[in-house]
Formats: sequence, C-alpha cells, structure tokens
Amino acid sequence: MTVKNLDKKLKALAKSSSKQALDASQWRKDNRDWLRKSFEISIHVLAAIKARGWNQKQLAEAMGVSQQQVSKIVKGKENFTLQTIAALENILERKLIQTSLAPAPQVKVIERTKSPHDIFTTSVKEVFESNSQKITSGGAPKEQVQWTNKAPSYLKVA
Amino acid sequence: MELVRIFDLPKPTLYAIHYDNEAQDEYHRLLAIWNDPEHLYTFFSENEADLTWYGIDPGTAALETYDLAGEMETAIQNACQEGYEDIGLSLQMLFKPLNNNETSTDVELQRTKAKWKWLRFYDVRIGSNCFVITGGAIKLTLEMKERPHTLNELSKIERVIDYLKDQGLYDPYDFEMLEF
Repeated sequence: MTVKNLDKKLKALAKSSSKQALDASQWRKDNRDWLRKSFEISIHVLAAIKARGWNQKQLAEAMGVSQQQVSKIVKGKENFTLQTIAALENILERKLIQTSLAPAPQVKVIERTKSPHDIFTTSVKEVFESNSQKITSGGAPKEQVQWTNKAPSYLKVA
Repeated sequence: MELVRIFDLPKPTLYAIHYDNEAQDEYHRLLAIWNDPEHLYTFFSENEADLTWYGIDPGTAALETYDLAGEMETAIQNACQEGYEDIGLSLQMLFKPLNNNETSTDVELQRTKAKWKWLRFYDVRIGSNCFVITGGAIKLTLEMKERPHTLNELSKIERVIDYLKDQGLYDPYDFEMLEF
C-alpha cells in the first residue's frame, strides 16, 4: 500500500468532525479568558459543596435557584454576575473573587517648559552635532546648522 | 466504531475513533472532559492518593489540567496546520512511541502517545506524520496497568489496531512500501 493508496482509503473511510464538536472547540478558544475564571470559581464551589457534605440540589435550594443553574455553575460555563457571586459567597461562606481597588490615580499637572517638538529637535541636534564632530575631526569643514527651539508653524495654534 | 478526520486542512493527518457508545470522537470527547471542572474535580478527588507524589489537592490538579488541555489542543492544532508544511511542529514530534524503549518509527501500526504532564492522548501511527487517536487519560501512575481507567486505554488501542487491519489500512507486506 503506497501513501497515495492509504490517503485514498482514509478519505473514503473517515468522516468529518461533527459541526457541534468543531463549534464547541472554537467557542472554548474564543471565550478562554473568562472561561478560565469561571472554571476556577466552579472548583471553589465544588470544594465548598464537598467540605459541607452537600450535594448540588442542596446548594440550589440554599441559593433559591434551579438545579440546572447549579449544574451550569459547576460545569464552568457560567458567565457569573456579581449578584450570583455574592450569593454564592454568602451561602458557602468563602470568598470566590477578590477585587483589588487601588486608590484612584492622582492627576499631577506638569508645566512644560519645552514642547515635545522642542525636546525632539534638541535631542536630534545633540546627536547630530556629536556625530558631526566625529566625522569632521579629519579636517573637513563643519556643517553649520541653525537649530530652532520653536515649534514648526504647522503645529502652532492660532 | 468509526474513523473521524479531526482537521481537514491543509491535509488530514490526524484522525480519531468515534466509539459506538460515545456522543463524539475521542479527540473532542477528551478535550471536553478536560475542560469540565466537575468531571476533573470528581476524578482527582477519587484519585487523591495518586496526587500525593505531586503534593497538590484535587482543585489545583483540576485547574492545572484545564491549562494543560488548552496548551495541548493549541499545540496539536498548530502541528496539524503547520507541521504538514514543515515550517513548525509536526505531529510526529508530539506523538511519541507508547513503549519508551521504542526509538524508531519504523514499526507497523505503532502505538503512540502525546504527553502533557499527566495528560495523554493514545494513538496509532498509520503512516508518516499520520495518526489515529484511540483515546486518552489522566495518567498519575508509572504504569498504565496500575489503574483501571488507563488499563482500559490499552485494550482500546488493541481494538483500534484490529479495526484498522479489518478496514484494510494495514497490510504486513505492503506496509514496508510506505514512503517514509
């Protein structure tokens, strides 16, 4: 059997992956960022249920939701609302997510003495002059360049 | 059982078995359960003693498995899409002989595995860079025969080899003519 024959046989014999399987795979990939967080919460919920000796039905009753809702939670496919998370935290008596709110950033006003254009042209001037000195050290006439610290006219605001 | 093409493009090189009693083929079935916190947490709780060596609890093991499955899926997908063009990772680089003592790929219908820490896809190599996934498992012990779920995978591989032979995808004489 050559490779060509093997390919032919495989083509005739094998069917394509089901659309459902391909869609599920793509969905997991597209939503991985939040699915991982959901997965992590599910694990915490499952561990808490186990520690309390509960089953999912008891958790559903305690939360006042359907068993299907709890099933969705422990399957890691729930895009939790803060309300659901808070309810779970209260019932299971454990923190599921933690927010880290840093103090609001303070806006500091810096008074510019030079515009960005000035800073850029000054830097270029320094580099150019430094290189120019290296090049002209052999005696060639040094090029005279007039540099201005003023912003070009097209940047000026009327 | 049926044979399923996992990726059609650029050329099918990875296949999986769809067993009669399962809703989907082994590749997609295993990825689905390795992304399922309830399944993983239950599995690791039942096999908690085997986690002693790793020094982690079932929850941590489940989360790590989720991450490993994501990495594995991406690597296999890349190998199928890029490996064919010889510009990246090839399936042959991911799927190694199941028998650690086998170093050559010149073995008829070779039993192979793709390994990501404790995650395994078990496969049969039917040609150059061409594999059929027979199943997979979370292997926490040294030997497959040590646990029923991994022992079962060994028998699945043998059943698939018989199936491939029945379907004419193996011929002891002609196999030597495969263009490796």
